[in-house]
Amino acid sequence: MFTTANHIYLYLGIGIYALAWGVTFTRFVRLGHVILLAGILLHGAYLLGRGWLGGVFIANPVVEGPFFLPFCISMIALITGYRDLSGKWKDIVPLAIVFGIISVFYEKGMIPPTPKKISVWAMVFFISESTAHACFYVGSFFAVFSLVKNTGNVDYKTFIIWGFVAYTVSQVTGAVWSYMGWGNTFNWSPRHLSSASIWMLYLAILHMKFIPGWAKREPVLTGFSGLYVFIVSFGHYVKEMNFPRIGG
Amino acid sequence: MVQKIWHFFGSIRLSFWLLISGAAILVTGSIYTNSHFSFFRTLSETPVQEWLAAHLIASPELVWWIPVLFVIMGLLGVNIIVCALQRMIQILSQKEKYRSLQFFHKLTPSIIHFLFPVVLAGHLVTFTMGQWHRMPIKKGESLIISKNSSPIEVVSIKNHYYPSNTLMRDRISQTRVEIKNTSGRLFTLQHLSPVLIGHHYLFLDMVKKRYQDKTPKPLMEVADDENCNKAKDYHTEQAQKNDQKLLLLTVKDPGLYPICFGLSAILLLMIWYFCYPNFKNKS
Repeated sequence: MFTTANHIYLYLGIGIYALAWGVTFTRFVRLGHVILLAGILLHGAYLLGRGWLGGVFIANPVVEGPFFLPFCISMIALITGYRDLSGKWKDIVPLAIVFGIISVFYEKGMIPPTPKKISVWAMVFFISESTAHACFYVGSFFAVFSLVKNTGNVDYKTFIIWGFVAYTVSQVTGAVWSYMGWGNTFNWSPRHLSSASIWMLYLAILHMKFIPGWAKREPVLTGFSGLYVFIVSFGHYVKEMNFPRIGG
Repeated sequence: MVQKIWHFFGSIRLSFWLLISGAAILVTGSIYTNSHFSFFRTLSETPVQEWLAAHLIASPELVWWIPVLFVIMGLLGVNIIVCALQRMIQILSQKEKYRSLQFFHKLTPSIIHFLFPVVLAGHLVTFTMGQWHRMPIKKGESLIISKNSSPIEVVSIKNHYYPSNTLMRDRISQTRVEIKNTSGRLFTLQHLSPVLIGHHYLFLDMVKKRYQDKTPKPLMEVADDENCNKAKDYHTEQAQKNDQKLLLLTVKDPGLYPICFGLSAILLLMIWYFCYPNFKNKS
């Protein structure tokens, strides 16, 4: 595909996100939304092109975390803007830009997947995990925003709930994939353990609303949780940068 | 006294702190398993009580978090049951206020909470009663999966490779093993396509020679350049063609069924819980 190993499309996609964000400061907010869509299409084309890094289509590099995450955040901004053009979607775009810039510095090649990694369950796992992480970052950002601005804004809870739903899907599909490949729904490995810890953290956050007098603590822990997800997930991504790769 | 214990275990604050503690212990465990990958790899295929009996006294500084995790999960299970019971008693006392579907909708979160301990119990059964055995397989060999089962014959083994004109050349894309039981029935086993024979699921695995001679030695620290990336094991470089070994992994996991039942029921109930208000509003 024309975008395979052609990273200029990644850079262009992120550049267009920045342009879209800039345009939202003018009166042409709808134009900014359309430009964001253009950036998403370009970024999506780059992601699809990654599937042919090995010379034959393999879906794994398409949904690799560092590259797929900014795409998910942009999609959240796009959908949020579609529902309310004057709303919070403009504040989500900078997150996509930041994570997009991180992806620019990440290893572009593909870790050759073993036969156990070529699975529909694996794809659903990676897609739902990145979607969940994107929701958590957005929710965390708005939680911190509500504390700084003292707005009492509760919008962030919607993102956390959807993120938790997506993350639960990833836990279930990950368990199915793990059993079909390795004969265990849960392996005592760093990835499984840290993944479960994130799920339990957000379960704790979601239960805070039932504890009397804890309303003010909830945005604090939600804000912290985004940092926690970043440290845990990017800790794994940084380690995977050292794995042998091909293409890119 | 009993009431105090009941209220203590039915506290949402306790739920919160148990969940936070569980998350903290799990991430601690991920740090230990990351730096001692080979050491902890065998835990996934050994009953946890046997593994701890071998390692808890020899290396307490590496494995202390595992019993702590089990205690926290046990307390969480009790907490979930007590909280759900308290809520259920409250809803049952107001049964007359609701029509039957509305009443069931109100009860659904409590039922979902009851299913979580079922899933936890399933995992506990897996960790304590699961059986995993590995054996090398070669074409034409007869294998015995378990003491009470008849032997199975390996009829054929075929590796499929990626096209030779791509960067993925010499890498295995799939392995197809045909096995036959004593009644002549043929089974096809592939990576990610396990086969059920009797009470055992059969899986394929591949290792490369450098790992085959390593046996876990509890009193010695294992060198840990190993990690979760097994791409090399499926790369058939010409010089190392004979270093690859195909293994059959047999698994007997009695905990699998409660886990599958619990997760499926939770999923269905959650869909019902979130869809019912929309359906009710439309009608």
